[in-house]
Amino acid sequence: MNVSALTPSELKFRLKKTGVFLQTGSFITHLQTSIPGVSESVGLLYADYPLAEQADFADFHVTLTRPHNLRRWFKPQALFSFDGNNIFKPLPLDQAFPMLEWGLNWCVSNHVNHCLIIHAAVVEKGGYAAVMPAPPGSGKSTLCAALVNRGWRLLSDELALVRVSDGKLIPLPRPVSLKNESIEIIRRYEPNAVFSRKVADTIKGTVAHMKASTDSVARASEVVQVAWVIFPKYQAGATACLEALPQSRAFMRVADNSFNYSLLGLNGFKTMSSLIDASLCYDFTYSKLDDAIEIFGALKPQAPRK
Amino acid sequence: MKWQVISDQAVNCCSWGDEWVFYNKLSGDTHLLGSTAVQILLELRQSPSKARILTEALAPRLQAKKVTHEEFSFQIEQLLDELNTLGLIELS
Repeated sequence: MNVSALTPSELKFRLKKTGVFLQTGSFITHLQTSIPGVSESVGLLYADYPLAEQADFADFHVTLTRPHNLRRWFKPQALFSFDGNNIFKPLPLDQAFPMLEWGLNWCVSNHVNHCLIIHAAVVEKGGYAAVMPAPPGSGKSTLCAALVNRGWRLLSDELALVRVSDGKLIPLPRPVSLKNESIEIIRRYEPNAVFSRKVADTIKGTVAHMKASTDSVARASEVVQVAWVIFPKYQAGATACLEALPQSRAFMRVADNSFNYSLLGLNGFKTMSSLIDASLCYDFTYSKLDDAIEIFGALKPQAPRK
Repeated sequence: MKWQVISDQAVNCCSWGDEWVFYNKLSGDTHLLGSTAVQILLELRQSPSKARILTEALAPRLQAKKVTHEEFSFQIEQLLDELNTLGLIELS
């Protein structure tokens, strides 16, 4: 059963009373909250996600609550807790849903160590994945949102999960986080895209989340072979340019963008080596999304070694 | 005094083109090394060596025509110091 099988009031009731067991990729999150705005956004953006009704296990137990203090009445706040512990400082109540998304990213990046985790967007087409590591502000999520609205499958807009055992990429399709100008750019680019309400004045500016496609969610158990590592950079007015990057340099830059490369020790090195070995690596500068889509559409995987 | 690789088992590497990436299991650090530094490591992996002997062994392969023997020798010594600082080689 998917989240969409519940009426808004049923979802709100369940989230408040027992919580829901939400399947996102290979993880189950037990989510409990009585904050109405969160329930609405979950109903909107997680409609296609399965509910793990029979689950007697969850990878992450998450609650979003309103702290019981005076601010409950004056400038109310939202508090994210993981396994009963408050991890972050409270944020304004209006930011509860973005806080949930950031918190879920934190859950994965801090607890999933059977994978090498890279701060990167990942998209797939024709059985091959492009990993796009980049620091905030590089246009990674904007490019990712454009690609998934033009035929690429979303694996993640934030966390590339490279399985240590075989180097395959594990999908974690969740809403795509967009901020500031990117929100309207993608709204114009794909008028049918579904967005959460815009939330202003967050630490990242104004943010909104775009719903992952039904296909991406349905195929969340299909692992993928990496073919390209691409470092995107939005540059106003630039002509789209894909520039080959030596694999050794790409190795070091991807390692810099990894959450647990050092923690995994030799396994991290070996997983990173196989990822880079299987990839053609590029720096990619762009300003127009259509040009970027065209260049990505022309990508060819590495010829098999003889 | 001879230079030697610190525990051969402790260092893992992979290469693409001229550059190599080394992982030092003892420190947990990863290093990107150019071809000359790699040649030094590979040479020392085969057998420990004095700086002077190492320089003579590498010169036919790596010494550029415009570079004098003294300059090349200085370059090798600098790289030996750097590899030592990175914890990849030591004096025996």
